[in-house]
Amino acid sequence: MRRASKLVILILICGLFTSCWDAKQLEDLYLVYGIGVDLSEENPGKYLVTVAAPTVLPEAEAPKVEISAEGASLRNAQDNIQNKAARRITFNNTHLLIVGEEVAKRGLEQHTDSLLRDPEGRGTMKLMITEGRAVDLMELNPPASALVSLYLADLLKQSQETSTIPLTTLRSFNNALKTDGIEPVMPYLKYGNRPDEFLVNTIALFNSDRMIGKIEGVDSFLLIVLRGEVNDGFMSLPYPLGDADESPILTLRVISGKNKIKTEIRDAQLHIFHEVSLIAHISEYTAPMTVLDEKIIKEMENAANLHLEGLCKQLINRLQIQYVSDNIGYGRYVKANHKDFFDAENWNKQFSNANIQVKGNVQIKMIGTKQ
Amino acid sequence: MGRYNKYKRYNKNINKIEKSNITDANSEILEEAEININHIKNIFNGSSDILFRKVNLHYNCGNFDEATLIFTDGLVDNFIINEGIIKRLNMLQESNHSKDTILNFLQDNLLVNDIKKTKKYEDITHTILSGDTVLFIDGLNEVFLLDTKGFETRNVEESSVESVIRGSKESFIESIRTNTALIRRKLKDPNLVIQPLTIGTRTNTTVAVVYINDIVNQQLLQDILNKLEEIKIEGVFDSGYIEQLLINNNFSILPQMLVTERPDKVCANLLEGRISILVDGSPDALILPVGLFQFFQSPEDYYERVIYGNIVRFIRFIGFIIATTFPAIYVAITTFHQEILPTDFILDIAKTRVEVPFPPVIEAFLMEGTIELLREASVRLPSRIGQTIGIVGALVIGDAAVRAGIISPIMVIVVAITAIGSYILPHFSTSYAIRFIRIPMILMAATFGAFGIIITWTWIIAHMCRINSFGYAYLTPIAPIYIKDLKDTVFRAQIGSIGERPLPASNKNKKIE
Amino acid sequence: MISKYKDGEITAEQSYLIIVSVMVGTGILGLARSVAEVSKQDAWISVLINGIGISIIVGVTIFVISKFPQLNFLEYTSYLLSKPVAYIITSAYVVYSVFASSLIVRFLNEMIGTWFLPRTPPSIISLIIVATMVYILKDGLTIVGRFNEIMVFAIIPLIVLIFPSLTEASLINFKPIGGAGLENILKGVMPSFYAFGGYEVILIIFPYISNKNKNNLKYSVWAILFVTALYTVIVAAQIALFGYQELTGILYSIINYLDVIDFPIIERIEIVFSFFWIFAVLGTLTIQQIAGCLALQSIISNKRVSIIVYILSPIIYVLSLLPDNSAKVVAYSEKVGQASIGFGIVLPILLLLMYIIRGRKVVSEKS
Repeated sequence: MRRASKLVILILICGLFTSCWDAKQLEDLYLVYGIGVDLSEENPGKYLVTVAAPTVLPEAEAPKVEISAEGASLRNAQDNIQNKAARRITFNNTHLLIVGEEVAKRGLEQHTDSLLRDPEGRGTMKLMITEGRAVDLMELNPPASALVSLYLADLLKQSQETSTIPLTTLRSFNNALKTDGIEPVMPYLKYGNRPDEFLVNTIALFNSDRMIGKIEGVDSFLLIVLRGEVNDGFMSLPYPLGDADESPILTLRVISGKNKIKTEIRDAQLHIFHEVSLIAHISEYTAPMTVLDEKIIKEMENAANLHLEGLCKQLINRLQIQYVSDNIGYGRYVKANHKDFFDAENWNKQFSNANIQVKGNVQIKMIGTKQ
Repeated sequence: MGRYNKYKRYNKNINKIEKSNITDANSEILEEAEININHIKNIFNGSSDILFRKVNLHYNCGNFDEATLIFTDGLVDNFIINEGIIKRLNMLQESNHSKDTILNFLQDNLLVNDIKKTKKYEDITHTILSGDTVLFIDGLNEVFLLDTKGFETRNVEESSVESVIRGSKESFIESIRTNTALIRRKLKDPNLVIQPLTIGTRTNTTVAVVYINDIVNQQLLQDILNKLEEIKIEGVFDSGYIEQLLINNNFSILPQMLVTERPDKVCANLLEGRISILVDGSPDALILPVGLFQFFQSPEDYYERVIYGNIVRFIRFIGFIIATTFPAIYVAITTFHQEILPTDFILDIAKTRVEVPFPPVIEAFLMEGTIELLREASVRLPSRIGQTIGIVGALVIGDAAVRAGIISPIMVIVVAITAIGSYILPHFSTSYAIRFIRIPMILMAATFGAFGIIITWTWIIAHMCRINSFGYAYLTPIAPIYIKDLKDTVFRAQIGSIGERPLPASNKNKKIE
Repeated sequence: MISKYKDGEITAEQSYLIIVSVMVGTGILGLARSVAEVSKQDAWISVLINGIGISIIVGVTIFVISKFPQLNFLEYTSYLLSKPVAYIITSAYVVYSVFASSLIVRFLNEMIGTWFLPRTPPSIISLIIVATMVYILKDGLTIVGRFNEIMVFAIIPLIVLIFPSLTEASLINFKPIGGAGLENILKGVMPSFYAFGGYEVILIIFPYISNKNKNNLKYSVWAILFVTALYTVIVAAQIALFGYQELTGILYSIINYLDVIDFPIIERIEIVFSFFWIFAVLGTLTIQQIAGCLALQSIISNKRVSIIVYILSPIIYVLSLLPDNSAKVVAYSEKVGQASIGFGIVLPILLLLMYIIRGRKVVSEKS
């Protein structure tokens, strides 16, 4: 009896090895690096999805391959792409999702659902909006790198480290979408002077999942500072304060930053006090004056504070009045501190009526090796 | 007058013997030397290396005038025979002796280590075959057994499979007497008992059970001795026979007794309350009962300082896991879970794999099969050719296979690391276990990916939980937990700070003084 | 020969580890989500309260059971509650245990089918799991105890993996603390109960401990408090990272928790997490099943556990394949959760009451 049952089990086990249902050979896969979503030109109701994957055969001519197909949604398009592809498409290694500007204006949530639902999609996939169409971007051949998707991913990382753009992953986008009191932001890519030159210093603002505007340059740096995600980066201001063309320029390198946000409700009016602390080193001062003096450093700090506060005020005004969208995240604090006042549906309206004061607190710690 | 008496006795005894059964080993010795000697010649079927040396006791001892020495040529020390026995017998002065005083007389005059008397034939045959000498004295119905062992043995030298960098380089040899001497030199404790047994109906091999009497668990000792006495087998050639006849789970994949050639390892384990079995003719001593963690211990861990001893032991644990699981992980990752590795890495792997016609499983088995063949073959070859084939096989064949496009280079690396890593444990038999465990793990990984690896490890752990080595659970002291014994499993504590003996010892002398 | 205890028994240290191992199982995956649906950002308070409550119940249970050191589950319930009621309860326990085991197998199946092997038929995965269980269980409780002592080590990587993702967490997600309201917090205790479920095996297993002493109570309660602390930290970390609104949209929140940052060498760290988590679930499964087999053994009074294991395992296999889709599994698990409340809370309280009323007389008569 015992031997018979052992034999049966052995046969069963051997039967198991006859078919491996899930085995996917590595060289039979297209490891998609980047996905691009555009509006389809032929069928206005549909979307054009492009995938870019590297080739592995050493005899292949091109180091990468892109395939585009149309579909009503991401998965639907993927199905159509699969029919054009020689190997199985897998999103396991996808790092980048590039969305064309027009699609972003229409709404993004429908595209991200499939990537979030399937365990194949990574939460750390980086999102990006591009000027024009994504498919044009993905067909480019960057000079210094094999794949444009890798190049763009590195570009995003570098820019994020200089605090000019936020690092938006799929998951953080979803988080900002679902959480009341904050709206998502995303990096926005512009073309530079040459066709293969990219400029990433613009932030796209979203209201829920639709793109409503963009800010660039110094403003994008400030938005990052206000959001509390500052890493590194430079802040330039004329010192002594005055006209930028005449005064020498003081450039501060920001090392880290902290935010303190307090909310108050006085007479049914929402007051938000936002204190931005930045720790900075002097990186450049174009006048021959010596800076190694306590008073001068204090004055520089004050100047930096004023400069900062002025620019922030302008930015917040734009957010309140022009865009009516709280991309900074004040809503979470209001919700935490004043639950009854906070209205989840109309927070953006409440935000635009709020009285927001920004106080700068720049601390200059080091001045470099020159006096 | 004496001759006439001898003749009469001879006739009388011939009649006696013709009636009795000549080949009866239990028969008693008669007084007639001729009859005895012929009897013995019959027992040994006329083998030419059993020598019968007659010595005339001229200046003699009263009634006894002739003696015969029977011994095996090649097993005795010729110097003792000639100088210690024959010369001394020839030098005897005239004196009167009777049956009772002759033993004392011989004990005073013969230069041998030990003299015993016996009256039975069965003792004689064993004695002669062991290398001792039998002394028949004509007219006496007792014989004297003289200890004259002196056969060729190997020198005590360094073991080829268990060498250490720091520590004694002596190891056991095939003679059991030398082995017990090596143990005695390290443990000069009168409580150290060496208990001999004879196992094997035709080989009559001497087996010694070694233990420290006031530390060992008496129940365990009694069980072992009972089991040893119940063994019925014709030939015992190596301690491996005893090992397999003693343990319960012969189909287990993991060894349940420690096999070692080093006396310091034996002595350390004896101090923990374990029992050691030595088999004559085998340089491998058995130690029992042992659990899994004893296979990870090497004497060097204790001779080096705490930090380094622990680091080395920890490396062994990691190495064990890597050596069993690494090919399976590679197969699982490249077949099922490509998303684990960074993108650049996976791209490189894909590029190297694109020219290989086989899936990773087949590659893995091809490489494993080749390495096993090479390993087996190189064991039999003489050392010079063996080393060359090893290097040739590993490098050149591997390289050629890669260039021919049969195997990807990463597979070569993986299999090479595991092949070398399977020898990481100090105990040689575990390398078989590691090599064996790898195969089902690769199969399961190829079918079910990481889940397959999990299931295989679960089966192995469950198997380790179930087996026990003479009642000593295999995974003690982690399962079941004995907190006091944890001081010497994965990491060892400072020498001298381990206050109590671990589990195998009895409860009597638990505290280490 | 050397072992300190007979076959079929476990040591006290093994019993503590069994308690830890049986509780850390499938519940941990969806714990944060199911509680945050009710008590929002204060889910961790609900979990904490739940854990403390359970430790009190377990303390009470062990207190009652330790008065009957030599009797097993059937016997002491028949002392306290009368024989026919005890038979009914024990049979109900056997049925509950079979259903709970098959639910765990099914859940493991779902999890593996979602993350690891989407196209493999669930019948094969269930077959492998059940076959492994048979191999582990057929030699009785002692082997299960040893097995779980090793499986407990698989929980350590789970603890370690909590920390890296905390860099993205923000404390603002906790505020306002207590803002969900006391009522919601207490309602949140109910869904978290399922994650703690399994500790009622202590009813069955406690009589088999070979070295019972006064410390059993203390250390068992410590074991439960340890699991409580672990769960509280996990839930709190998830709330801090996700915020309760995103959290309610994710089914397997703890796996997505690990998906937020990029690790240097192993990019998808959740596969490593799942690897160790499956070990922990296998540990849970063995204990759940052996408790049912032991209960059945005490009813039939058969000497060998292995035959009972062979009988119950095919039943568990078939049951684990019955629900057709994930939604039905959820409904199934709710029913099992209700039964576990019965065995986990109602029964110990009942035993305590009966002990207070009538047990003292029985014990004093015996002594």
